[in-house]
Amino acid sequence: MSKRPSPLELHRYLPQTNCRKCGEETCMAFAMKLIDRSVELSHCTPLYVLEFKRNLETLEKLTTPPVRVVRIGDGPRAIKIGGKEVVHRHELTYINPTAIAIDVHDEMPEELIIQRVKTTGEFSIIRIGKELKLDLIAVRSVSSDPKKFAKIVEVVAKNSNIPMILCSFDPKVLRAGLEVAKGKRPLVYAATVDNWKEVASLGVEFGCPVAVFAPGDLSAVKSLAVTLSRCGVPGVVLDPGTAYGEGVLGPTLDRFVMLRRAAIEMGDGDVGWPLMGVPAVVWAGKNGARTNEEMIELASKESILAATLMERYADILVCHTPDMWALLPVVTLRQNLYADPRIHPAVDAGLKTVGSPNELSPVFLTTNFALTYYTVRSDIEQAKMDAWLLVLDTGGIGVESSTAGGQLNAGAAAELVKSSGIESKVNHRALVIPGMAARFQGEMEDATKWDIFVGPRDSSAIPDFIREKYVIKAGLRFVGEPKADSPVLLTTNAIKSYYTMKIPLEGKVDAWILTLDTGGKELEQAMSEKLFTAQAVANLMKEAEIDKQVKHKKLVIPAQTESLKNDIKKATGWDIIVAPPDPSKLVPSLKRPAGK
Amino acid sequence: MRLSSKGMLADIPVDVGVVYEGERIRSQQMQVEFGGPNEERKFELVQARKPEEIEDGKFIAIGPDIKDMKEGEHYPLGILVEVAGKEVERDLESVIERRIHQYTNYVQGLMHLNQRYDIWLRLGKDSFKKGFNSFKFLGKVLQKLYRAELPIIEKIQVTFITDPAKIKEWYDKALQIYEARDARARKLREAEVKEFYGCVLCQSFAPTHVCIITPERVSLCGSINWFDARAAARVDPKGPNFMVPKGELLDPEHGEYSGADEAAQKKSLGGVKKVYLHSMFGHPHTSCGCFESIAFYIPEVDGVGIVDRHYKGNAVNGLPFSSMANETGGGKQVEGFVGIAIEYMRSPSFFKADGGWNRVVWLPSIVKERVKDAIPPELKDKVATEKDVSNVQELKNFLKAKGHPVVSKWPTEEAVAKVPAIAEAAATPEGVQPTMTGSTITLPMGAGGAFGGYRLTLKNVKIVAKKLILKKVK
Amino acid sequence: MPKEEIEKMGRAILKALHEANELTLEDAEINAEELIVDLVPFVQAAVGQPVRLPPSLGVGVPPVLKYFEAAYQPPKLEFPGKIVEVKYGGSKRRKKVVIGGETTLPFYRFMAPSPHRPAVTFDIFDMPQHLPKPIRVNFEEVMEDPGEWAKRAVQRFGADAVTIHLVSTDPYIKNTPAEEAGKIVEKVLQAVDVPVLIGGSGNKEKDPGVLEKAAEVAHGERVSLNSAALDLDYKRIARAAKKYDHIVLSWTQLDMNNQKKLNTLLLDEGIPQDQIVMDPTCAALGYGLEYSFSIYERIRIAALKGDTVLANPMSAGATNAWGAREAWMSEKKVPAWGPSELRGTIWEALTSLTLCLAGCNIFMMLHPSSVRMFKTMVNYLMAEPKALASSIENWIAMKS
Repeated sequence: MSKRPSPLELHRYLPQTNCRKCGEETCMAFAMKLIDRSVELSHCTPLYVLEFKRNLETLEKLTTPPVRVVRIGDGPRAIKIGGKEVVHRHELTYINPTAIAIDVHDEMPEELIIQRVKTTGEFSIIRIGKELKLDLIAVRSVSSDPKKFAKIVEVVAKNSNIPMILCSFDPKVLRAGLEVAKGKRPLVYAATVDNWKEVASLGVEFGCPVAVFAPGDLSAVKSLAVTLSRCGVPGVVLDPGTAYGEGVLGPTLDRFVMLRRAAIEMGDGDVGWPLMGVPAVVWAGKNGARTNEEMIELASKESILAATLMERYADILVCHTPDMWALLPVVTLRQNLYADPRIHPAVDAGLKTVGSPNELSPVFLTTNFALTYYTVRSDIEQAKMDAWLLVLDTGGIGVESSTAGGQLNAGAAAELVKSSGIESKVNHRALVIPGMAARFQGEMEDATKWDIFVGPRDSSAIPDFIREKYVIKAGLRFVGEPKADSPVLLTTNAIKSYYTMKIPLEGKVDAWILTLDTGGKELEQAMSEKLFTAQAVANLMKEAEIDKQVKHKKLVIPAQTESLKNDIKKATGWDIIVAPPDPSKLVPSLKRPAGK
Repeated sequence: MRLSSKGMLADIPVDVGVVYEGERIRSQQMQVEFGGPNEERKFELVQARKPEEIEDGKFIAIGPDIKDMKEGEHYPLGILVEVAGKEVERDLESVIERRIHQYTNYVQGLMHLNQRYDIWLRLGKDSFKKGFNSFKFLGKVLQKLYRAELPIIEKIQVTFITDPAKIKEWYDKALQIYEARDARARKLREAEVKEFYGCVLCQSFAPTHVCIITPERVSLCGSINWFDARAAARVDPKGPNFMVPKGELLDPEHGEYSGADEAAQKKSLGGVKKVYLHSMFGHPHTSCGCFESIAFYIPEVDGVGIVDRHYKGNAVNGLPFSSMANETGGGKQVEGFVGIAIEYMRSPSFFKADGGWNRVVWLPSIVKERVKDAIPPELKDKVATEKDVSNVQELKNFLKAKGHPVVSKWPTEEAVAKVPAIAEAAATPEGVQPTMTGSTITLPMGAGGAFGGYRLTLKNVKIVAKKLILKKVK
Repeated sequence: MPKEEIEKMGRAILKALHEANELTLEDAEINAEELIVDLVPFVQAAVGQPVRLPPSLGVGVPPVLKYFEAAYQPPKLEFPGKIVEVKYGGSKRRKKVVIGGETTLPFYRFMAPSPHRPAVTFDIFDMPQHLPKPIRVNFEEVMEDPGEWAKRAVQRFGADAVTIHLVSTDPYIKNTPAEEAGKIVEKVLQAVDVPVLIGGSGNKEKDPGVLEKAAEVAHGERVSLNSAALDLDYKRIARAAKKYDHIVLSWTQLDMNNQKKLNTLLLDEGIPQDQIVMDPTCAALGYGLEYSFSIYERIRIAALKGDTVLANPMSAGATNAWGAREAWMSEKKVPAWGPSELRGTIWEALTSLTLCLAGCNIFMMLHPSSVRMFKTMVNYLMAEPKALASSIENWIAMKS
C-alpha cells in the first residue's frame, strides 16, 4: 500500500495562513495538490524563512517520492522521469511515463542522423484523445573521438529541441559533448567505478543529471548513486545493465525488480532513483550488413524487450529502431500502463457513426466508458453493420454501474437524443438500449418519445439481436392518446413503413396504428411475397378488436398499397382511404373532413 | 440471472425474462389496473412465518381474480408473500419484499411500479389474450423466482387480496408493519446486535477497502444498510457481503471493535490494522470511490464540512468534490477526509468521537435541506451553506457571529503567536548566520526584523569576549 | 565614556566596518542595560520569486569527490501462499503440460525459480474461420479439418497444447448437435499427442451440453472444459469435470470479486482445486490491457499472500489482441502505422508477455510468429542464470 502522507499531515507543517501566494485558496488545498503532485513545494514562498526550516525539511521528506524525480532537458520538451511511489500500478498509479530515446552515433552519415532526429522529434500518434510522442535522442560515441562527438551533438541540437543523452565512458568525449550542449541539460551516460570522479565533476560543472552503470553489481550501483548524489550531481539514473539472451534476461529483470522494491518497500533512499533500460542491446554483436529479415527480427525483439523492461519498472529506455510498426505497440503499452487506475477512461459523449449509417440505420445507446464504447463499436464493426451510436456521458462509468448509480437514466438519454440531432438524421424512432438498462425502458419511452428496444446484455450479440428482435411489435399500436373517433392507419412492422406512417403524426394527431406482421419486410417486398394481403389485414383487425376501440369504420392505408384498396374494402367492410404518397401531406389529409 | 420460458416457468402463458423489466403498459393497451393513483388501498408485504404456519407453493385469492374483472377497470390489490426457512427472519422481510417489484416486471405484459403502499400494476391486453388471466400465474412466478434466487426461503405462500371490503383490514395492518420496521431500523443500536457486516463490492476499484456496516453506520455508497447486508450475506454467502462478528468493544468513544479490526486486516491483506468507525482522525474508516459525500476537516475553523457528489463548484475550502475524492478514495485511511453516505449524518453515533453535529460547520444547501431533521435544533442556523459563505474567511466570520460550538475551541487572539508549530531555537551555538544547504541570500542592510526572524533582547548584560568579530556578509 | 565620545567611537566603528570586511576588537567588554540582536532570517531576495532549491543537493558548490561504498540489501519479501499445480493430459496422453506451482511473483528468480514454464495453446476451430490474413496464410489448407489443423499447430509451430473451439455448435451458426461435436473432439484427440482444451461456442444455453459430451468422450485425457461462467449453468460443466476427471476453466470478466465467487462455487461442486484454472479475461493491448494486467497481478499477489481461493494458475485469451484495429488494419488504410503483418505479430506477442509478467501461466494464441517471439522470451527467462558477458558494455560502441 502506498505510504502517501495525508493532506492533514502536510498541512501541519505549512504556514497555515491561507495567504494565497501559491495560487491556492487555502493551505489545505495546497496540501492536497502537493500530494497529487500538481504543485511543487517551492510555490509556497513563505516557507523559505528560518522559522520554517524544520517544517521545510519535514515537508521535503514527506513529499519526495521514494523514487526521485529527475529532470532532463530544457524548454518545451523537457521531461521528468521517476517519481514512482508504488511498485504495482493498482496500488495507486504510475506517473511520468517511461521516456523513450532513439539513438544516433558519430559514425553515422550526417543525413542519416538528421533523418533519425527528425523522425524521433516529429513522431506523433493520437490515441484516445492523447498525443503519444518519443522523448529523447541518445547520442553515442563509437569513435571515441571528442571532436567527432561534439560535431554530431551539435547536429542533433540544431535539428531538434528534444532532450539528449550523451553516451560515452570517456570523460573527455563527454566533456566535448557537454560544451556544445550547454544549457540543454542532457543526461550524461555514464559514470562507472572507473571513471566516476571525472564524470561526477562533469555533472556538477554542467549541472546535468548523470547515469551510473555497473552491470550486474547492485552494490556498485548503489555506491555510485550515493557518491554522485553527495558530490552534488543534480540527479542520478541507475543502469544495472540490460542483457538479452538465455540466462541473462532473467537476472536483468531481477536487478530492476530488486532496485525498485528496495527503494519503495524498504525505504532505501540510496537507490531511490529512476531506472534505465537499454532494449537497443539486441542490436549488439554483428557489425556487418544485415538482411531485411534480420532487421525485422531484431526490431521485433527490441520492441518486445522494451515492453518487458517497461513492465519491470524502467523509467527510461534507449532504443534503436525508429520504425512505427515496432514502436506503436510500445507507446500504446506505455499509455495503457500509465493510465491512472482511479480514473474512469472516457471518450467524448455525443453522436458517433459506425460505418456509413443512413436514415434507416439502427441507433444504439451506450455509455462513454472507453472500454464499453470501443467494445460495442468493435462488435458492430466486425458484424459489418452501419449504425449510429448515441454515447451518453456517464462520467466514464460502464453500463452496469451507471445503471445502478443513476448516471444512466431516462432524463439524460432524452437530453442526449435532443442535443445530438439524431432525429434529423434518421427516419425512424427506434432506440436500442443496452440489455442491462432494461428497467428503464418505460421511462425512456416517456422521456424520449422514441420506441425503446431492449438490446442484448453483451454487445457481441448485437448482430443476432438485429436479425431476430429488431422488429416493431405487430398488432394494435398507437400515437398519443387515441380515442373512439381517432383515425385508424395501417402499416407493417418493418422499420421504414412503420415510421413513415408514424413520425408525421407524432405530437400532431392521436391515432391508432394497425401494424401488420410481415416479418419485418418492407411494403413492396411484403406485397410481392404475399405477406401483405387483404385477408391478412382483415385478420389483424379482428384480432386487434379495432371495432371495439373506435366508433367509425375508416381505414387509411399506405400509398404503396393502393392497388389492394378494393380487396381490403371487401375483406374488412371498412371504408378505405389511401394516404398521400408524400408523408408531409399525411396530417393535413387526416384533418380534412373524411373523403374518399 | 437466467430465466427461460422453457424451464421452470414453462407453464406460464407468457414469456418471463429480464428483458421485460422496464416495459410500460399504456392505458390503451391495458386490460386491467391494480392499485395506482385511482385506488386508495394497495400494498405489498412480505412476512416471515414459522414453517408450520404456511404451505409451500400455495396460492390464495381473496376477492375477484383477473378473469372476473372488467376490462379497462381498476381494482385495489394487496400482495402478501409469506416465507419460512431456517435463516428467514423478521429483519430480512424488507429486503425480500423489494424483489416483488423486480420479479413482477419480468413477466411480459405485466407492469409494476413503486413499492409498499404505493404499488401500481397494469396487465396488458396482449398478455391477457395469451392466457394470463389469473393471479395464480403471478403467484407461480414469484414462488419459482424466490425459491431459485433466495435458497434461504424453504417455503413460500402467496395471497392476493382484491376484495374491497376485506382489503381495508389488511391495508391498515400493513401500514402498521411498515411503521414498526422503520422505527426499528432507526432505533437499532450497535450495542443491541452481535454481528456487523462487511462489504467488499468496491474492491475491484479499491483493493484494500472494506466497508464495516453496523446499525449505526450505513455503507458509504448509501445503498446497503445493516439489514440489507445481513440479508445479502445470508442469501449470497459467496458474494461481496459477509458477516463480521462484533468482538469486543475496544474503544467506545471512537467506535473500535476487535471484530471490525480483524475483518479490516484480513480483507485489506494487512493494509489496514485498526478502524475507528465513528471518527475522522486516528484510524478513520477507509473509502473506496463511490461514496455519496466527503466529510473534510477545515483546520482554519477546527470544524468539519461535508460535500456531496452532485455539488458543483468548490466547497468552502476552495476544493471541488472531485479533487478531494482523489485523496479520500482508493482504500486508504486518510485523516481528516472520509467518504460517507448522507444517511450516516442521521446516525446517533455520527462522528461521535469528533463531536458529531457540534463539529459540522458547512453543508451544501440541498444536503442541509435533506438532513435538516437530523440537525439538532440549536445548531440548525449555525451551520453555513454555500448561500451564506463562499470561503474560509467568510465561514470564520459566520461561525463567530452565530456562536457555533467550534468557536469556543479557537485559540484566543492574544494567544496566537506568529510562531509556527515547529520552532527552531534562537541561535546556533557557533553564530548567528543560518545555514541551509544551498545558496543563502541575505537581506539588504537595515531590513532587520521586517520579514520575521527573531529579536533577541538581553537586559543588564555583560559580555566579555577575547575577540569580538564583526564581519560583513555578502 | 561621555556621550559624544561613544557616538564618535560608534561612528568610527561603523565607518571602519563599511570600508573593511571584518573588524576585530580584542579584549572587548560590553556592558549594556539592553542589548538587542536581530537574527537575520534567510529570505528570498526579490519579492514573489519562488526559489527553486534542489532539496538536498547544492548547485554551484564544489563537489566533494569521495567514493562512498554502500552495500546493497535485497528486499525481503514473504509469500505464505503457493499456487496450485495443474496438469493437462491424463494417463492416455503421451505429452502432458503442467502449470502453476509458483511460490513467488512471476520471474522473481532471485527468490525462487519458476517451477513450470508458461505454456502456449493454439486456437483451432471446427470450421474455417475468417482470420486476419497474416494468420490465415499459415493454416489455409488445413482449416477444413480440425485434426490436420491441430497437427500443423503442433508439428510445424510447436504448440504445447491445442484448444478446439466448437463454434459450429452455436445455434446461430450451424447448431451442430453435441453428439457430433463429441466426434470432432475425438478426431482432434487422435490427431495429436499434446493435451487438448475444448471450447464451446459461447452460446450459454448450448455450451453446457456440448461440454458435457466432450467431457464424456475425452474421459481419461484430462482435457480442459472452457468454460464455466456465472451466467450459465456452470454446475453441469463442473459435474462433468468431476465425473470424467477434467480441468475447468473458471471464466469471469475483469472482476476479482466474481472470480472468487465462481472459484468458490466450483469448489463447492466438489472439483479438486488442482482441476481449476482461472481466466479473468484478457483485454487487447490498447483496449483495456491494463485492466487485465492489474487484475492478473492482484489475483496472483492475493494468492501468494494467502488467499487460497485464488491460488490457481491463470489462462489468457491473448488472441483477443487481434480485436485491436492496430493489429490487423492494413497499411493502406492507415499508412502512418506501417506494415500490418509486422504490427500484428508484435501486438499478440506483447499481450501475452504482459500478462505473463503479471502471473498468467497458459496462453491461447493464434499467430505462429507471435508464438515464436513469445516463446523465445520465455526460454530466455526460464534458463539457468549465466554470467554477464563483458560485451554488455559495448552497446555504446555498436555500429548499427
